[in-house]
This record gives sequence, C-alpha cells and structure tokens, in this order.
Amino acid sequence: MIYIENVFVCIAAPLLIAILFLDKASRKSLAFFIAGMGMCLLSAYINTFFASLYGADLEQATVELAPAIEETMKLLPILFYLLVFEPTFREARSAILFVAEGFATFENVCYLIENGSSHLLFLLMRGFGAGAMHIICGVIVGQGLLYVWERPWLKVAGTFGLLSIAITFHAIYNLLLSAGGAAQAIGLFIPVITALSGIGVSKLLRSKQIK
Amino acid sequence: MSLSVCFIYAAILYIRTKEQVWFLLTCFYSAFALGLAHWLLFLVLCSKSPKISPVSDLSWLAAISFLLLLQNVLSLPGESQYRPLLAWLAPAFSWIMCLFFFRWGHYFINILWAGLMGPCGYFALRGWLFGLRKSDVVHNHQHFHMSVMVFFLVEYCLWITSCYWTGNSLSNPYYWFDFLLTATLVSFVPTLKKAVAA
Repeated sequence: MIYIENVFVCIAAPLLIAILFLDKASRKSLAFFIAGMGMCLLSAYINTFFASLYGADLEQATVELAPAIEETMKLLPILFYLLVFEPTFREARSAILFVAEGFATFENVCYLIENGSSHLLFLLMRGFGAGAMHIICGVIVGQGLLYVWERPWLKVAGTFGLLSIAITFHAIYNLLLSAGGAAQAIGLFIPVITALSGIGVSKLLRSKQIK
Repeated sequence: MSLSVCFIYAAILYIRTKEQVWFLLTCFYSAFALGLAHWLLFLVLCSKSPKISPVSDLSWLAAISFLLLLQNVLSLPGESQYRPLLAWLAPAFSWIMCLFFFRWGHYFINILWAGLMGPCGYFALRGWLFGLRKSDVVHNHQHFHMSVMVFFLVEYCLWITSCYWTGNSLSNPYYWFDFLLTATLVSFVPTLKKAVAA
C-alpha cells in the first residue's frame, strides 16, 4: 500500500519553499505544477471512491473510470484561473502545460513506487507515453478553450466538447495499455506521435501568421 | 476511415483559412471518430461493451455539441428571431424517442442525447425554413441545414434498427443506415464550403 498523500507532501514541500524565493512569473508556473500534482492526488481518492461504489475491478477502474475523473480534475485549476484571473493567451497556455506536467510527474512517481524502477526501456516508453498523453489532453482542452472563450454559450458547450475529446483520447490510451502486448506498444507511441504532429501543425500555423 | 479523411481535410481548411467554422467542424469529426475508435477498440480488446462509464457516448455527444455551435456560428441575421412552429417537431420527436429508448439505455445518457439532438434538429429545420422564405445567399446555407436534417433522421433510424435487428448479414437495415450516416457525415464538408463561400 502506498501512502500517496505522504509522497505528495514530500515532493510538494521543497517546491513550496522554492516558490517563496522565485520571481512572479516562475512562481505562477511552479504553483500550477503543484496544483497539477494535487489534482492527481485528488483523482486517486475519487477514483477509489467510484471504483468501490460501482464495484469495479482494477481494469474497469483504469479503463472506464480513471480517464473521466482525471481529465475533469485536471481541468478544474485551469477553469478557475480562466474565470477568476482572466489571463492572457500566453499566460493561460503555460498554466495548462504546467498543470498537465505536474499531473504526469506525480502519476509517474506513484507508478515507480508501486511497480519498481528496474525496467529502464519500459519506463522510458512509459515516461514519454504518459507524459505526452497528459500534455496532449491538457493542450486539447486548454488550447481549445482559449479558442472558444468568447461568448457564454460557446464557453459551456465548448468546454464540455473539448473535455469529452480529452477523456476519450485518455480512455483509448488506457485501454491499449491495459491490453498488453503489441496493443500496449502502440498505445505508448500514439501520444508521442500525436504530440510530434501537434508541434508540426502549430509551427505551420505560426509560419502562416508571420506571412 | 472516411471520418479520418474528413477530419484531416477540415483541419487543412482550418489551417489555411483560420475560420472558426472549420475549427468547429474539425472538432466535430475528431470527437465522432474518437468515440467510434474507443467503441471498436473496447469491443475488440475486451469482447464486451463498456458498462460503467459511457466514454464513447460522451465523445459522440461532444460531436453533437460542436455541430450545435457550428449551426449557431452559421446563423444569419434575423434567423434567431425566426421561430417557426414546424421546427419544434424536431425537439418533440427527440423527447418522444428519448422515452422510447429508456427501455434499453442509460436514463441520463438518453436525456443528454435528447437534450442535444433536439436543438440540433430544431436549428437545422429553422435554418432550412428560413432559407425558403428568402432568396439569394441564404440558399447556400440551406444545403448544410439539409445535411444536418438528414444526419438527424438517419441517426435515429440507426438507433431504432439497432434495437430490433441484430444479424451480421447485409440484409440487416442497420448496415444500410450506417452507410447512409457515413455519406451524410462526408456531405458536411462540401455543404459547409458552399455556405462559407456565400
């Protein structure tokens, strides 16, 4: 059994001290990183609650419950930031990425504690795969939200739509990973390939803007 | 496959034009395709359909919400004030079908489907009727509204057939409605192109 809250305290404590000494911009980034880790911790609690409520086994909890809970929890700090602080496009974009990074990092730490760290190749694939998946899901919701954040009806329908896309992407990843074998390898590569194509498309968009 | 092609094409059009309508159509196709991919993968890898959380349904509902946004973005001046009685047929039909599908599906998901499909049908029918009253440019929008109306009807026909026919042969009407639905989804690109050009 892992005492996940103890792990969180241990990792978050030095980061919280560092916040006191940082400049304003870096302080915000680190705060979002810690918020992402906190959301991962809360997701674990909520996941366990719903798994026991529905009598779900480990596979059902991973494939059916975790994507919806994790993506919704990851969205909450961003929604709060967008609604309360009304940040600029650049500020919001980095906040989204830091929340996703914090979430992925804390998830990987918990995975290492539970499963050990002896298989470097698999951990390398998992590190990049899970990291890329969380960042992609964050980017889908975050970038999309910034685009539809114009009118009230666009905000509500757009948030629901983008969150659902992120949940489904996450669910497909978890489904392939839980299947094992070749499906697992494909699952680990899908987020990396999607991230690389996303970088390509954003560069294309930027070059068009410059023209 | 056809959805993926449509998604890529809509994404290219968005990158080229940077117009919101193409962004919304790209989101519609991606949500629909992801829902389908999740459903198929779940059936293949787990040999059953999802029991606890309806992820695929969520994704398809997201696609409908993007279609609703698209219809709103496309609405012409004066269209939102136009409220024909005939257009209310679509939401009424959706809620009747919602009660009918309570026999099979999840109550909450059925209510969500009716809550989104109803307005979708309403906006399509209203847009089409609005076009009948006017001339010139409005007619270009009518093709897109007609496509959405066909999508609305075919989707319901597909669900109804799935309740009564379960065979795997081509004589099963489910497959024919499925082919028709794919054709309707593909038709969104040219009809939207025409509407945007107007």
